Amino acid sequence: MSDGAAPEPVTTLCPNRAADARVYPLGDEAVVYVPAAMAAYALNCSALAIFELCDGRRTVADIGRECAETLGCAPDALLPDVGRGVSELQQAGLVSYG
Amino acid sequence: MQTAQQRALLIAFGDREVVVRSDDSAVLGALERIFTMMRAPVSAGRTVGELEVCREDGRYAVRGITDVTLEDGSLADVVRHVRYSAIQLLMDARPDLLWFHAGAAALRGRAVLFPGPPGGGKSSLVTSLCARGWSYLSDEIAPLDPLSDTVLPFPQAPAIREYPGREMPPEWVRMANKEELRLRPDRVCREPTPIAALVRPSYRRAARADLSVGSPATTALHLLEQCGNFPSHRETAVSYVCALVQRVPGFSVCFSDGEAAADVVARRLEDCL
Repeated sequence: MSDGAAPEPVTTLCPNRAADARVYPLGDEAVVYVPAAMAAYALNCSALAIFELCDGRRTVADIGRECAETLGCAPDALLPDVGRGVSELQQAGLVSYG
Repeated sequence: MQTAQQRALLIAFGDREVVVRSDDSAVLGALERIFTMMRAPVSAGRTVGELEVCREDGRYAVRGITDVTLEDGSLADVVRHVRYSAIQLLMDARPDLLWFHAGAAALRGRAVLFPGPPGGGKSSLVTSLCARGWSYLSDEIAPLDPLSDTVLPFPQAPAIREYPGREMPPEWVRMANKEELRLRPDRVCREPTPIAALVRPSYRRAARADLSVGSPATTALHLLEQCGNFPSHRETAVSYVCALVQRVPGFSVCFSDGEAAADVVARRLEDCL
């Protein structure tokens, strides 16, 4: 994933994984391939955790809270990081809102 | 039509051959040096392409089955284009293989692949390993057979860029600033060799040679980025590479000096090979 600044997503939106994305788990990371774009991405464990929670039902805020719960953090502690992660996934075409 | 003065160079990869004809000794001489370890004395395989280099109005021209647009028609220009055309013809003749921008060297019958873009230090690293007793498979183009997990030899003459130790601007990649090195024939691997490790070379000015373990996902992505015929394989390539990185370890080596990098790689990979 790029380190470029990505726009903050609206935390009430529900990001959804690209329907045609193929996930190749590799330990706690994964390669995700999008056939339509003929593009592959390496997701580290944090990005993969966020990606897997992008199911079109959870909001960005929900995803942030679930990640925080998993890691034992305060509920909103990870929201900025999760928001950036979702934005990067969106920019890569791996998730969308709609 | 072949004229009386024309000579032919047969470039062989397995049982596939590309024929280059020319009446210009400078062109053929340069190509013979590049492909000296891939030359076939007589045709023994299937010709997959023919290229003819001639001189017209003081400029070189290439005729053949590939579209070639020379930039300036100079000797360096025509040699570079014929070389890439010959490689492309051989790649096209073996679409079953995954072709990587990678150097490759072997020790004790086990191959290490060094995938990376031009200017990343592949040639420097591979030739330094060969000076330490490793066998040479390629310094730039490495075909991998996904059915057997073997690296096939593509032993064009290794070439080291001039001005080692300098950061290389992108345009240098296309310049004729490489010098071919001679390898002892017994240092050249002639057989498909099982792949045992993937090492991503990364040249950085003034960097101390250091080898680090790469995660499978980043190793896979880097390898896929260097797959020259990815559009022909797409998801099959992704699937294969993701399986491969679970079978063989991946590393990255950062360095500014090929000799020091070869020492580190040889020492650290001793147990994998």
